[in-house]
Amino acid sequence: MKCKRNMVALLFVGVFSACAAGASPAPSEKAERPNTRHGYGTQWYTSVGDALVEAQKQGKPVFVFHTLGDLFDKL
Amino acid sequence: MRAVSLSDNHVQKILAKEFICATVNLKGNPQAGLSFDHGPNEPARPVPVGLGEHNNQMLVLTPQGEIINARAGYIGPKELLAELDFSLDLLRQLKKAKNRTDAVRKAHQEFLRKSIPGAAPRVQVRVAGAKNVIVKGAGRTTLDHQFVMANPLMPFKDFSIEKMIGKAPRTRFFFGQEVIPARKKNR
Repeated sequence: MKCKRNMVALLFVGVFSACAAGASPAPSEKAERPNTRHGYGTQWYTSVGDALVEAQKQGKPVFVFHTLGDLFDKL
Repeated sequence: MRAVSLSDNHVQKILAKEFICATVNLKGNPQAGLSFDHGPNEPARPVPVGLGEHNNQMLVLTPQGEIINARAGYIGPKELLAELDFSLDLLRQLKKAKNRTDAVRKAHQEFLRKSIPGAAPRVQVRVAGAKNVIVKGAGRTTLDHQFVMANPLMPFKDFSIEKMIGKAPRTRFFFGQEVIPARKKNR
């Protein structure tokens, strides 16, 4: 009887852990990317170096917008 | 730029889908020009292509950080879309090209030969007392593409506003002191 109870408890813990792992995103997805801001329909890196790292990962070109002042001011 | 070109739906879609975007605030950069405060939702006034070339530049880089396209000053949404499409096409060509610098030069030459959608006619402005004529409109488009043709695949770290456009307008005072005529709160 005791053995059965332990097995049920273990099963419950196992199922709970699996659900928790599936439901919550991985730490890298959960954390907001550093040096980025959102505006004008997309994500903008505030460091060209960081943008280039991401561009190499994704194989995409980088669009760099130089502007005098904060691009996101009053958005 | 913010109220018109970057707020355009087509521009936003292509930037989100095809590019990694980065923004650089030129505040405090002595090579930047001057700007006047306005919000992105304020009604836009018609401005010639190329206006504000010292305080506003757009560059397209390969994932390795080489400049394949560059524009300075204001450009409208149609022209910006044409430049973004051209950049994506050039990037595809570069993957196959044997001589990458030649491929960049030829592509920009070809782009300038075609009509440029949304480009305003060439406008020249001479500021009283200034030696140089300020080029706006389609003339600015030509100068920008010629800059990339003269510096194909320039590493981003070597780029400067001065190399692309020249020095920002300055006022010279006695004793050799140079001052950039900008409102203090915008610097």
